[in-house]
Amino acid sequence: MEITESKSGAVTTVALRGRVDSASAGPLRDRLSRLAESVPALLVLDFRDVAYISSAGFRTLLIIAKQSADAKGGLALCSISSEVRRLFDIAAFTELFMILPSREEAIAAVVRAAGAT
Amino acid sequence: MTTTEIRIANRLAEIGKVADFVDEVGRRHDLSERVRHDVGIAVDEIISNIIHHSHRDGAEHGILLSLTLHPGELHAEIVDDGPEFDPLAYQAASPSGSVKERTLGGLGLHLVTSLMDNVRYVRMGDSNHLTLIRRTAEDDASERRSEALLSVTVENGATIATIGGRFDSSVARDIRDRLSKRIAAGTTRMLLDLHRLEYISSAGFWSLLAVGREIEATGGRLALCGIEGEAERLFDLSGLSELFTICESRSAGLEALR
Repeated sequence: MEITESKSGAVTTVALRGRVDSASAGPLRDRLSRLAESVPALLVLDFRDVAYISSAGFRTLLIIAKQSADAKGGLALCSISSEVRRLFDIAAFTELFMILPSREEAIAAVVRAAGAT
Repeated sequence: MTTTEIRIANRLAEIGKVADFVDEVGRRHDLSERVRHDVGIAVDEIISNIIHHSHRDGAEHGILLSLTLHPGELHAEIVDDGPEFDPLAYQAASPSGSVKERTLGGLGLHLVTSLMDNVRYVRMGDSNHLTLIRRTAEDDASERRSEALLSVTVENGATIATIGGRFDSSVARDIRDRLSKRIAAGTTRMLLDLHRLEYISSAGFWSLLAVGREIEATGGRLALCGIEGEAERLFDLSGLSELFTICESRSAGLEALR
């Protein structure tokens, strides 16, 4: 899996590419954990090029979401394909996250959510 | 039956090889992206579970994954030499709860049982054998597509089925089911006219073989005709031609079934 970071104002967007599986979930968790520690931690995960996500990937998402909530940061996911969305539905993860159609909307949502707290 | 296998060591770093292997074999057999991904996830769940929990001795152990294409189904068998462990004995919990209260015990198994059509476990000697079974035909649109590709008439007491277009994994199961129904309804002489066939994948071949076996089991016979152009090349490549009665023309086929 490839991980690409980019900044837009205070928000860091992390684009994921490939399989979020038991081999890639650990390195991804380490990378995102560091980002979630920064203050304010405003994170968008772009799923556009994700092929699939396994339970190890969901575990990483949950850890980062908890960390982000503890740090009063903001986290949103965007551009999830219908195939990957099906996996979120099966895992009952869809309702746990802010999921937006596009990266721009996700960045705006994270900024709004952070401003509200 | 085509079986392909890969053996890895019980280290997480090896899992990438397994995922690449599943994807590559799936592509080679013309399986849809969804089937390849579903099997990739299920295999990832089972093998990572073995790596994390099975061997407690710190030594290197081998894990074997074999993929076998059956008519309409892909079977992924995972064999490890760890202590007896039947993941199916543990109830896969339905996930629920908010971010703060959510725990993830059983999520992997929940994904496996949701994405696979069947999962079987057996302990043989000193090894665990887990078989993940996934239908290779797509669920919704394939039946309508197979209807467009398959037309059936009856001539002189023989059933003539014309199969056209792309005979691949997305329609193979449905075409086979539709021909099976004819056999169940009493058809004993069946001629498959393939002159409109553009392409046939291994899934297509397997469903033809399955139909042949089925009709022979009832004392009937199957013949093929109209194999030309690209279809002829694919039949030659498959090495399966001698398993079928292949005739030059429709009339020769009907003659052979008499």
